Amino acid sequence: MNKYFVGVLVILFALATIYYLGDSLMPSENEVIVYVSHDQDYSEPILKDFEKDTGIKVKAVYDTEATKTVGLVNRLIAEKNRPQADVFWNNELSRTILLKEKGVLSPYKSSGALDKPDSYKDPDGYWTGFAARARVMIYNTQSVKETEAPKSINDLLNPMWRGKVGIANPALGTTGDQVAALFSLWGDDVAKRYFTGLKGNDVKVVESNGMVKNQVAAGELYMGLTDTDDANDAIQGGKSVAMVYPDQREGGIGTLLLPNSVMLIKGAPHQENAKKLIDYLLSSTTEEKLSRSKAVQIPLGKGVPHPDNVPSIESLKLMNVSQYDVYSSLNRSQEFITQLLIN
Amino acid sequence: MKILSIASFLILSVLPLAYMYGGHFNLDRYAWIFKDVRQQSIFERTMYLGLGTVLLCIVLGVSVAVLLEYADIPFRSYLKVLIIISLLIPPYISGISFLTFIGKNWVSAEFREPNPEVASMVRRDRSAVLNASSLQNSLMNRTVASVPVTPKRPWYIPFDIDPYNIEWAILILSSCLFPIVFLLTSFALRNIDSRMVDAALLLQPPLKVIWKVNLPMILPQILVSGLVVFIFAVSELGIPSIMRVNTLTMEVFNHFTGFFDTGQALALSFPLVASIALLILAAQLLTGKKPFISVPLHTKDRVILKLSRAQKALGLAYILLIIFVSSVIPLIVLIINSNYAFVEALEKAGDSMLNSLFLSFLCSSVMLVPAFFISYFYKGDKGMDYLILSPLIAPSAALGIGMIGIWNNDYTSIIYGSFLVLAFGYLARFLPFTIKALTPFMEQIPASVEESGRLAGASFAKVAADILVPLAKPGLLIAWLIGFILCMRELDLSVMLTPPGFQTLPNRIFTLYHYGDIKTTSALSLFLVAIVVIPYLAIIIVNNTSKWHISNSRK
Repeated sequence: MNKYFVGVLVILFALATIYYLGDSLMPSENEVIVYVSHDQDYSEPILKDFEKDTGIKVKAVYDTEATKTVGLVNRLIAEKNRPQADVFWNNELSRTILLKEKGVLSPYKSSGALDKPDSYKDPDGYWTGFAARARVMIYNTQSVKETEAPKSINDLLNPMWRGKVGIANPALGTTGDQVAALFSLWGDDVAKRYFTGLKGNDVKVVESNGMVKNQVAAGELYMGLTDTDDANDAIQGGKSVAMVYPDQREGGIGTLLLPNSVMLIKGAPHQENAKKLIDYLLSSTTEEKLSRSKAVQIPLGKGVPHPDNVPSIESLKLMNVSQYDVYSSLNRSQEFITQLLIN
Repeated sequence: MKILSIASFLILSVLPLAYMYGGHFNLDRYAWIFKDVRQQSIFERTMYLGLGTVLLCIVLGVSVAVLLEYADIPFRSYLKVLIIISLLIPPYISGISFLTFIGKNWVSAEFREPNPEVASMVRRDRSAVLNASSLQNSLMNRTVASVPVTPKRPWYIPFDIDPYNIEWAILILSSCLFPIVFLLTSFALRNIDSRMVDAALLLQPPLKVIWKVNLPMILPQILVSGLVVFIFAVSELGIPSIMRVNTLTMEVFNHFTGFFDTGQALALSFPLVASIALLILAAQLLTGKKPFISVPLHTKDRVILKLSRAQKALGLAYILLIIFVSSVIPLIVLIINSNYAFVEALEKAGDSMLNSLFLSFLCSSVMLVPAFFISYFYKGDKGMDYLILSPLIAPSAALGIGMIGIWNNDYTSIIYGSFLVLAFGYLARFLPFTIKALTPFMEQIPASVEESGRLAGASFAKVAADILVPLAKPGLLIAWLIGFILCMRELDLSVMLTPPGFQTLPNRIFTLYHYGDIKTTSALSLFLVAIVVIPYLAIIIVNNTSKWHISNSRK
């Protein structure tokens, strides 16, 4: 190969390497490093707005949907002795509590936390919930008559829908949270009977909530469990689907609310900027933006403006279970559900 | 240099895993996995997947390599380029494409025209649909079709196919991975000493010569390629996930990420470790007593199988069918699914594309240095094979956590805080492949070449630069290409090691895929294929226009 060509290549690579290494060689104090488990399409605009409004450079690491939450949680635990991140923006609460238990977090009581319900923030200030999703059922309106549409998660056990109900990987993400919540609410025996019934009805386990949405929209599955943002994505896209908040009737168990959570990492390299980012994320402005986005997230703060198609938390019947109870049920529920549905 | 090369390999590839496995060893966990019936069943399924894929890949890869290297099939040089395109398409993308092709059209639901009646009602009701208090009224007032509608089967599919099983997973994995066998077999066939072939042809017809002389001579390369295919097949997460087949790798992943049980996850990977070690041993036993290593006089095309017109047509049809199923169908589906949203895809992921391109070029080039020296100094050292392949056995997540443990400290902050940690991860993960790809070519360089140079007073560095590297050029090119493809497609390590502000293209594609953005995913996948095809074409051109001579055969 021509030596000059090789020489040019080497110089180009050296320049590219210096460019990519630039930030590491000359770290800036005016930056904040955030690990984000919330969907990149929804979270990135918020972080860019923070950059614009404050002049603080944001460096983000996003999780992939398939490993949602748990990939970055593992990384935060591994980095505990020498943290790289300043802030973790999680899309649920159970693994947030795990991080607190592992000593990865540092308390910070943001002013933005004051208007959030007590049940969705840590009493010691280690984490605060905001902008929630909810677990919902989605069904194909061309395959399911409206009179037969599911109203409760128990309707998924109906033999009519054998082999036509889908859920995401129950060991991960918000589906895992819902499984744990049912274990906590119903007790182990009843919960195990329910999921055994689901297996008996040939429930299909797919990779993610997004896949549940896609397969229901195409009619390959008739219904499934997913999150509000996925369901809304299909509805606003004009697909033949409808969404149901499960168990809203009298005597029903209600639906599980899944707030985002934000937290300060212990030993964060940029503490002050981290606190500013946390304040920004917990503000009513951010909650309003997330409610107006395709994510249609439900604000937890009092009096936060939101569009008509986003319910307020007061209008929903919510599952009567504490986040700490959900967390404490997580391991044993995951072990059971993995053995049952993933074999 | 010998010690330096192996030391770099040990630090990069072996140390993170030793850190992980050593730090989480627990005999009870290892005992449990052999007693648990469910784990046994998952292990059997994983072996079936791996070995089934290897078998099919060898049948396809070797048959195509023989036809394209030895038979006078028309358009051979073009077919050689087309045959490997399926290797460049990420397996999970191939999986989605196949599912779409056979009518599992949930993928294309995104831009299928919605039912007009439903769409207009959705638009009318949109403000009410998500309002829980009026939801029930909204649903009851809606008049939609009450007859269940099942997805239509495409006209070219005569019967319903249920693809969610292990056999389909094997078929799709084989369609993606058989080019590995083809590549290594093809180069090995081209490098057989033509004098041996000529001698055999004097006594036997061509087919018998191929079957009884050529193929046995290149059995080591075929087995090595089969081993590589096995490792890829059992390590794959995307295809088993899409096809709903639970494998040991998925089990390890779930324990690692769902249960945060690193020790258990590592223990679960042990059966795979043992299986791969046994396969290496079997390969060594089968090939260890081979007395000759063939040294080519030249590498021009050698057609020894003259076919009749009918046989040529049949051969061509066979190869075209394989190309159609493995490459054309996925590409057509990708193009249709992309909806030509290439500009939008670039806007969403242009920076990720540049990141991956830079990182892959850098890593695949840097990887050649230790790979060259290790494969040269340790060629023929059977014991080294175990060490070289050992990093492949562990799941990527374990390697990632191990690397965090090794590199996340005050002294190496410049590495850990930058793309370098991801580059080191790629080196750790893919250096074994590069070494194995290069080894057959290094084994054909006789020791007398180096000895002559040293006798003439040249230093080893000069001998390496002026003699060894040019002689090994075909191997270096193929090793570089394999490293480049692997780096461009890598996903699992990126999640663990990506530095802030840096995202790779596969990471972006996978995330968008799971959001259901199939349009952008398909467009980006087409970019990914194009990015890898270009170097491949360049290497083909360089390889075909260069000539080299090797002076002696060596026992």
